[in-house]
Amino acid sequence: MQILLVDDDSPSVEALREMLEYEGLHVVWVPNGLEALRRLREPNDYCVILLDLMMPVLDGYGFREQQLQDPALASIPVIVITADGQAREKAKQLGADVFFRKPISPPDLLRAIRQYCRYEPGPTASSTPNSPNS
Amino acid sequence: MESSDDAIISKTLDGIITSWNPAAERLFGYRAEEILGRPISVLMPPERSDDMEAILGRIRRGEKVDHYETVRVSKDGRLIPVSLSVSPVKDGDGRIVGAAKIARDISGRKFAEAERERLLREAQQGVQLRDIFLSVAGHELRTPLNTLKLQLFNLGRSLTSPQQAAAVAKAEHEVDRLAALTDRLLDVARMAAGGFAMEPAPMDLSELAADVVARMANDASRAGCSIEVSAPDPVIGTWDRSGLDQILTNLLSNAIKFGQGHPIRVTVEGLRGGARVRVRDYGIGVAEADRERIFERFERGVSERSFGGLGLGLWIAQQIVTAHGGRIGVHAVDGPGAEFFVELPDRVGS
Repeated sequence: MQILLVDDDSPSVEALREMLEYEGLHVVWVPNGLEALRRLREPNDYCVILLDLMMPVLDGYGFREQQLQDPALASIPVIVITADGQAREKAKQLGADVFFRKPISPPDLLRAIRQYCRYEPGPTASSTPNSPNS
Repeated sequence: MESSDDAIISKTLDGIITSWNPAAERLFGYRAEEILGRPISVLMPPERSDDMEAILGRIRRGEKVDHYETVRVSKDGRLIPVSLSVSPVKDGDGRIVGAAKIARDISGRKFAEAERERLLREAQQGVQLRDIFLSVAGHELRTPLNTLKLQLFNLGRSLTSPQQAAAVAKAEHEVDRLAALTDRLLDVARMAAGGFAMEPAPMDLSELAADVVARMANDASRAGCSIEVSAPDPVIGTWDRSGLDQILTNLLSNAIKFGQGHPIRVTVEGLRGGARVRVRDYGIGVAEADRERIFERFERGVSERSFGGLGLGLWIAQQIVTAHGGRIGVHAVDGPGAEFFVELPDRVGS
């Protein structure tokens, strides 16, 4: 079970990768939509795509359009992670399953990922789901 | 002719100057005796040399030329923008023998036009830059906030003492506050420049209220406030959802902040031709003298020290309500606290 992380901001990616790997998830990162499509066309077992929207070369919208046109790729669930103020509307336009607006809530993101990815939850899962800072 | 402010010049059909008034002397710098008998082309800059045929051609056909804007050159070599009116001159038998020209100096007007165009261009560039800034700024500011929050979370996981965990939790909360403040600042910047774009669509106000209350449940319980929603029926209208979301979030956030741990009540009602939302708290209330002032930019009902924030939330809310054609305010209540209300027509602008 792998997660495909599509985002061009390396500090974000680094922090997110550390958080996910601590949970026992395996993360593959690409910096834009074009690279994401390339990876998806190789043999893979991505359970979910974490998609940023503002990226150079091919942004989140462009990526999603092409993903949906390809039957082999269209069914992979997408979680939109965006700084955009219209996050809800944008996610709806994209037909994304879930969206998070930056700055995200880590426990909420982990809970969302667990809906798509079957893996052994790491140490964080044992803390209370509604901790005050979530 | 002698007392006219406009230069009046006569010429033959071949363009030889036959009369020259004092205004022409002032405009072009040539005294009458030094220009009479010379060709009119003396006054034309090289790039305007086809003017002569263009004008005289029409004169020969008996046509009048009016408001012909062009450029002439004075004796000392200055280029002067002028507007010309040229009429045919006929002899006693009705034959066209020459042309009478009135030349008006329009350099003042030309300068003003050029200035106006320059200012317009600058303003347009300014607006473009502002719009780019606003759309990029939000993204640019939230991205490091996101990283900060994630790293705090990562840090928190490796700590053992409860005090350390509490400190990290507080830091994460501050990041959320920063993000909210950034949003407000950008909203104000956009609205102050008149750039608030609405996207009205059919929606249910009761559903939105329930949504916002659910989202603020954590903040409310942390402050010891319970929120009760009275919105039994759908209240449908055509409004900008994210705008109304912002208003409700702001009113609830204030109610929690100033509610002193007492219950908060949100009521959504359909009215004839519109809808009303009321947010009632039982906290410190709003003095009558402050009831209008708190909606102004940067105004606050209390001191900065005790309650953080920029004092923009209610001003933003008012901009959005006004854009919908509605009303927002706070009215007196029995007992402690305050009740804020928002009234909206059932569709934007009606």
